[in-house]
Amino acid sequence: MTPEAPVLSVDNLSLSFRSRTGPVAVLRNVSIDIQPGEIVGFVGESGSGKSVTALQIARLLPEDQVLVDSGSIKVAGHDVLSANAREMNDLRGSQIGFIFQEPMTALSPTMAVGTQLALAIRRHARCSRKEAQRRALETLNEVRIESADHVARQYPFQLSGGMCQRVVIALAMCASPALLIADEPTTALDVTIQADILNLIRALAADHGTSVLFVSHDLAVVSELCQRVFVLYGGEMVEQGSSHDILNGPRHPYTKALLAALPHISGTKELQPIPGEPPDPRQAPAGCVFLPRCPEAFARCEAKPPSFAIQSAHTAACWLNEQIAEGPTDA
Amino acid sequence: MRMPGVSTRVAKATLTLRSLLTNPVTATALSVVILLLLVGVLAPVVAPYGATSVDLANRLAPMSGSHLLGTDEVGRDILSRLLYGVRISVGVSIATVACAAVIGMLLGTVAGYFGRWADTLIMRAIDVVLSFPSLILAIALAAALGPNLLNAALAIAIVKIPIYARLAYAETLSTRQQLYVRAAKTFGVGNAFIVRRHILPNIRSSIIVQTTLDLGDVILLISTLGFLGLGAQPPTPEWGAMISTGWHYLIDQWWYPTFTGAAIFLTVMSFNLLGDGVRDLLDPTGRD
Amino acid sequence: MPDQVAVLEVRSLRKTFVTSRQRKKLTTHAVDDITLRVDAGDAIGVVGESGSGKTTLARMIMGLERPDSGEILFNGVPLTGRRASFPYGDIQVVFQDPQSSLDPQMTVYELLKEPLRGISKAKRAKYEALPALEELASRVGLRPEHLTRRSHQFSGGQRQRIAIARALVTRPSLMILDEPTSALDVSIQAQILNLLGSLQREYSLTYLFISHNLAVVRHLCNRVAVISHGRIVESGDTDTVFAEPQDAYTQKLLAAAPSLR
Repeated sequence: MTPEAPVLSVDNLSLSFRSRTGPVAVLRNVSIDIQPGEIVGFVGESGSGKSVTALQIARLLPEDQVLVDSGSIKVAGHDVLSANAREMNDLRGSQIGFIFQEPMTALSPTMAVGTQLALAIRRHARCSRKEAQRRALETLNEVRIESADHVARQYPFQLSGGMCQRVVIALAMCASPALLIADEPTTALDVTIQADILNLIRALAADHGTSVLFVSHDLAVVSELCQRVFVLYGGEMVEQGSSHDILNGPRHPYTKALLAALPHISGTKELQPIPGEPPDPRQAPAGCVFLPRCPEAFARCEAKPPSFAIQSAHTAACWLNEQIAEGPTDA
Repeated sequence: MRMPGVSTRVAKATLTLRSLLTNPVTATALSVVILLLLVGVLAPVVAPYGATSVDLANRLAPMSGSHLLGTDEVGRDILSRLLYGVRISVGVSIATVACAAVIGMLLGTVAGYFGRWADTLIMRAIDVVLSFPSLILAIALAAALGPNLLNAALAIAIVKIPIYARLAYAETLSTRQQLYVRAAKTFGVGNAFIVRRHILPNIRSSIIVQTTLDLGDVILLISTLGFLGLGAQPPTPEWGAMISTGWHYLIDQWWYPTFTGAAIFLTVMSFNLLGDGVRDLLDPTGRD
Repeated sequence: MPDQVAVLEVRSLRKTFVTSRQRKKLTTHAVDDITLRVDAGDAIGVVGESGSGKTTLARMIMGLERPDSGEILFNGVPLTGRRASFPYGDIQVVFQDPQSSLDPQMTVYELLKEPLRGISKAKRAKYEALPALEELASRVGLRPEHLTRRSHQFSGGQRQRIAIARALVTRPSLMILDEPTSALDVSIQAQILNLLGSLQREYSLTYLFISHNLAVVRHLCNRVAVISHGRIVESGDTDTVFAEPQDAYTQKLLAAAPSLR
C-alpha cells in the first residue's frame, strides 16, 4: 500500500432496501475517503444512513434485502462490493474491524471471552492454540483489562457492559486491521465508561496505525474524538470537514441547526429545536433533503444542491454556498 | 441499526381479506373453507337426500346418476351424509376450539398476571393435563363420560385447553413487563381494567393464530373419536363413524370409506393451510 | 423556601435487594439512606449512572416499589406507611421509552383518558370532556385529528408528546420524568425539552427529572442531586454544582461528559 492510497474509499454509493412497497432508497450518492491513521466521524440522526453505510462497508447488511444502486467501496485496495463471501470473510478481521453498539450481544454467550478471542486470532494468523491463547491475553492487556487471565475465563454475561465492549474492541483489533468501524460503540454505556472507551480507541488506533470510522448521533463525542466529520441527513451527505470547521464554521443549515439544538453542559443557552421530523426514506425529495425543515430555504432549493467546496476538504451541499465556493465539486 | 421506515417495534400486521389472498395456497385454502362453511349451512338445500333416509333396496349401490357417491350399508346416500357431516365436523370443531381458547386464555391470563398461588394452582393443573398423551386422554375422557358427540367435544376441549393456557400465560408474562402496564399502575387503575384493556387485547392475535392452527387438528380428533365409537352415535352422519363401518367394505365398495376419508383429508388440509397463512401474517416475529 | 411545605420530601430512604447468584447471596443496597427535598416550582435533576439507585428511588416515589425504611412525604402527607394511600393523579410519570410506554393498540383518546380513572369524580368530569382533551393535545403539539389514531402510528417524538399529555391530563403537581429524551433524536430532543420547560411554567409543575445526561439536566433543572451507589454524593443549585463540584464523583462525571470543543 503506497503512502498516499486511502484506507477507505467510498465513491458515490447509493443503497436501497427491499420493502413490500418496492425499493426504498436509504443512501444517495455518498462519497468518503479515509486516509491512513485518520479518525473520521459520521454524525446523523435516525434515517440519516450513517449506520447503513458503516454496515455496508463491512458487508454486514442482509444480502437479500439490500440493493446497491451505484458506487463502489474499496478498503485497503480491496473491492468490497464485488468480493465473494470467502474474500469478504478474509477481509473482515484482517482489514476491517467492527465494533457494535450492544457489547453484550456482540459476543457469543456460550463461549468464554478468551476462547472467542483466541479463535479470532487463529482465523487470521497461523499459530498454535497455545500461542493464540497467549496472544489473546496480550490483546486483553492492550485494551486495558487488568487481570486478563481471570477475565479471559469469564463468559460475557459475567462481565459489565464496559468490560464487554473492551473485549469486542480486542476482537476487532486482534488482527491489526487497516480500518476500524465503530457503530455507536458507547451509546449503551455510562458516561464515565464512555470516556475510557473513547480514550482506548484513540490510543489503539495510534499504536496500530489503524484508521477509524466512528459512527454516532452524538456530535459532542464525535467532535472530541475525530479529526474529520461527515454529517449525514436523510441518506445524503450534507457537510464534511475537519471537526474544527464543522463546529466553529458550519456551512450547512442542518449542521448549524443541530449545533443550536444541542444542550450544552457549560451554560444555559436557549435551545433552538429543529421543527418537524427527520424525513421518511419512502418519500425521497427531489430537491434538497433538508428543505422541509430549513430556516434558510429559498427558491433554488427545489433542485438538489451539489457539494460545494468551501475550502479544501470542507464541503457543504447547500445552495447558499454557491457564490462563496469556487464552483461546484462533487467531492 | 434502525432499518429505515420500520418502527422499532413491529406494528401488528393487519389481517385483511386482501392480505390472505396474496398467497395462492392460502387463497385456495380460504376458498375451500368458505365453501365448506356454506355447505354446512346450506346442507338441507344442497344435499340430494336426507342424511338418515334409509333405503334397504339400494344397499351399497355403486356411484351412479341418482347416487353420485353411492350408498352405504343401509342405503343412505353417501354424498348427502358427507354434506351433512360438514356440520358436525366443522361446526363442532369450531365450537370446541372456541371454548378451549376462551377458557384457556382466561386461565393462562389469570395465572400469568396475578402470579403466586393463582400461578401455581392453575399452571400445575395444566401440567397434569399436559402430561397425558392428548389422544389417549381424549379417548379416556370420552369413554368415561359416555359415548356421544357432546362428550367427545368436551373431552377434546379439555385436552386442548392447556395449549391456550400456556400460550396466554407466556404472553401475559411478557406483556405484564411492558412499560404501559407499569404506567397504568401509576394511574391507580384496577387490575381488572389492566387485564381487560391492556393484557387481553395484546395477546389476542397469538391466540387467534393458535386457533386457526388447531381447527384442523380438532376435526381430526373428532373423526378419530367417532371412528372409535366414542363420538357421534349412529345414525348421525359423522365422518369418523362412517369410516368405522365403511372400511369393512373397502375391497368391494371402495367408494364408501374412500370418499369419506377424502372429505376428512380435504377439510383438515384446508384448515391447516389457512392456519399457516394466518400465522404468517400475524406472526409477531415477522420482519418487514 | 424552607418555611413552606415541600412538594416532595424523602427522608432516610432505604431499599435493599437480595438476590442469589451461583448459590451466593448478594445484597444490593440500591437506595442507601437518601434524603431529598423538592420545593414547589423546582425542577430537580437526579443524576447517576446505571446501578446508582436513581431508578429504584424513582420507582418508590411513583408508588411502584415500597421502601424498606424511611419516609416519602408528598405535600406533607406520607406516601409510605400503613395508612398511606397513593395520591393518584397528583403525581404522574413520563417514562423513557416512547415505544413501550403507550399501549400500541389504544387510540390517543383512550390513552389520555386512562389516568382519569384513578382520580376523584369531580375532577374527572372536568378533565375528560372532549374539548379539554383536544386543547391538551394541541398544547403539547398534536392535532385534534390525532386523537382517533392508534399510538403505534406515531413517531418517537410524537409518542413522547402523547405521553406528556397523558401525564398532564390529571393536572398533577409533581411530574416524574424518567429520561424522557434519551430515546429521541437530537433535533426532536430539543423540541421536547423546550416543551417541558414551557409546560412547567404554564401548569405550575414541579419536576423530578432523572437522567444520566448532564447537559440536558443543566438546561432544564434548577437543582441537581448526584447519586452514586445508592447515596446522594452532592446536591444543590445546578449552576453552583456544575461550576464548582465538591465531590470527587461529581467531578469525574463532569470531566467525562463529552462537550463540543
